[in-house]
Amino acid sequence: MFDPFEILGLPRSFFLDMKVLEKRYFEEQKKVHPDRFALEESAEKARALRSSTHLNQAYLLLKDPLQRAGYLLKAASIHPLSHDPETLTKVMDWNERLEEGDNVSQELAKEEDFLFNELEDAFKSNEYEKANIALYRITYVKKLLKDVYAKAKGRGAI
Amino acid sequence: MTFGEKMTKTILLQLVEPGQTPNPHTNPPGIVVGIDLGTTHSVLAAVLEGKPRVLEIEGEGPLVPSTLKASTTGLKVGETQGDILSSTKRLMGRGPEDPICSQFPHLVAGQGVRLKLADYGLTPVEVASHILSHLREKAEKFFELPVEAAVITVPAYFDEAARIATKQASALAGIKVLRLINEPTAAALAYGLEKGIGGVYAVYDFGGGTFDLSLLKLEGGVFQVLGTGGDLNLGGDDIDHALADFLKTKDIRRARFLKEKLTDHDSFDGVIREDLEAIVTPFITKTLRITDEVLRNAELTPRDVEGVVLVGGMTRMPMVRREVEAFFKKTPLSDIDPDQAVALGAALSAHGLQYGSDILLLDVTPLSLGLETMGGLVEKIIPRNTPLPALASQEFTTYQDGQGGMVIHVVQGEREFVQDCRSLARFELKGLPSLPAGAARVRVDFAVDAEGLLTVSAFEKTTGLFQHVEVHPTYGLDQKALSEMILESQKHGKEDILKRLQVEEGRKENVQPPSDR
Repeated sequence: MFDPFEILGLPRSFFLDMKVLEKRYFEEQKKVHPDRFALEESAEKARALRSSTHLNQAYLLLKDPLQRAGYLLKAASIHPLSHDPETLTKVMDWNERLEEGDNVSQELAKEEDFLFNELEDAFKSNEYEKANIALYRITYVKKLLKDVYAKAKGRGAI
Repeated sequence: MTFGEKMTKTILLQLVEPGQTPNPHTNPPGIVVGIDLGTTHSVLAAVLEGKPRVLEIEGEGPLVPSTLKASTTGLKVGETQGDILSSTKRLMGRGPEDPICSQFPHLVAGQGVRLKLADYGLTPVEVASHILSHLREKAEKFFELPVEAAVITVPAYFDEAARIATKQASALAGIKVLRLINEPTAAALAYGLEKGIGGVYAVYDFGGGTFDLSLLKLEGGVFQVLGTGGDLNLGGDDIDHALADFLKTKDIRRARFLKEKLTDHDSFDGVIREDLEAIVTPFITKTLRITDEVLRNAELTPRDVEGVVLVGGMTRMPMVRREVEAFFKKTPLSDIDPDQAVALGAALSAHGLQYGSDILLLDVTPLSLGLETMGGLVEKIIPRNTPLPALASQEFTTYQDGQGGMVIHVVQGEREFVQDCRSLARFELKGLPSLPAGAARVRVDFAVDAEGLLTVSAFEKTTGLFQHVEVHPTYGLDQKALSEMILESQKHGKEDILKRLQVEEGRKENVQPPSDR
């Protein structure tokens, strides 16, 4: 199975120093990138292309805390949440206010921060079920924030 | 590595067929050059004695006008007077319905994009191939050796079709492309930014035909593109047209001349710089809006940017410099000639790819790649600014009972509807098993290589039906015509190289013509 931590030679943990991740990523790309094999046989080039692509996929996954969390939860055999009434109520409320023209972006950003802290705490104490809920809620808040931005852009406010 | 007279002779003995070099780091196999195939000018450079240099032939300047003129002896590159084709780079990979076509009076109505010059009917790819051939000859004259391979630069914002068109032009010109690299990355290379303190740099590239803004992160010899944005229809040419409109003239060349004069004159021939600046303002505002957007997408602010590099002829304009400086609150770097920086960087890249280097360029997709789904909507498979090489897959299903085929329509762009995006290719996956709607499982893979070239494969999971297509532009040359033309040019190209090599004294036995072109 695709293991981004293994590909980058990093310990499997939610807590990842972005500087270390980047350093490892650059070191590995310097070894496997197709440009290093510009004059080699095509089999060699194809291998380089594959390794370099996997490395990019692993890097992108680990760079994003939400994808990283999702991967760790999946690896721990936790199924993604499909339904959460509390989130649903909140999201409907925000959506309504967004329709009415309320500026909810600050509130959403605050909620995102709060949930992110919850996610971190959950991983700190290895409470995967709790992490799973936090991850589910952040995903919704992020989507709402994106809608807010798109709307503001549509109005020409940004 | 030095590249003196002595080395040149050694290299001649070591000429190896492309693809047969066992180790790229020991045997330097030939002359490699960097080419900036620009909208208004093209520039040729190579690494000489360890340093990148723009190659100049006696009697010619460093910049070769990207023009084509018909003469009694055939087509001539670099002429600036009379009936000439110019700025055709802007047509690379475009279709006849593209609004940009209205800027080209030589365009012939009818089949695809074809330009009429005397008795010739030329596609933009053919024009580019003539320019590239001219540059190749120039390099061969300079080194008295055949050109083995080249790095050719393209605007970061060039789409798939335009990149493929550039590769087709190189193939026609008998040039093996080591790699297409993006112009801003090449400029950053030329500045040797990787030797500095590292950090995020912005490359503001305002050229004759296009504007690009790229953010690059530099660390330990790695140039990582964080994001790029631009406009393929925003360049000095558009300002020439706007200025010509203002002056109520149809003489675009005169408008360009005036624009250039007003760079270091406050007024010229009755036109004052303020008039020009008023015309230019909306264009600059547009470039800064794009800049802001690219920064925002990368979650950065102007303050996070360590330095700004200016590239492209338009950045000579004092007003452009002023506005860029005000935006970033930093004096931009401009000590390398903005017309030459890209070619110099391309030469460094070519040299590095051929002989090995500690520098690595990590590019991104400039535009999102996706598929058409029900209702003319676009499903993005690889979002823009994804690091390359990239691979992504998506599963699709049938919407009718017993549906026997599925059309895979590949598009590029940021918009939600297919009609607003660029159509790249369309193919049909046939022979699907007869299943109820929604039961067939078709997986579509998008693979983009390190240069940004896309391959799409489709795979029906229950039967194992597999289809693999290289994505070719819908416009430009079709594959059959291209292969025929390459075959022709190879035939003559080989003869020419052989002839030239036989003239080289006393080395005939040791030399084989490159055959892989």
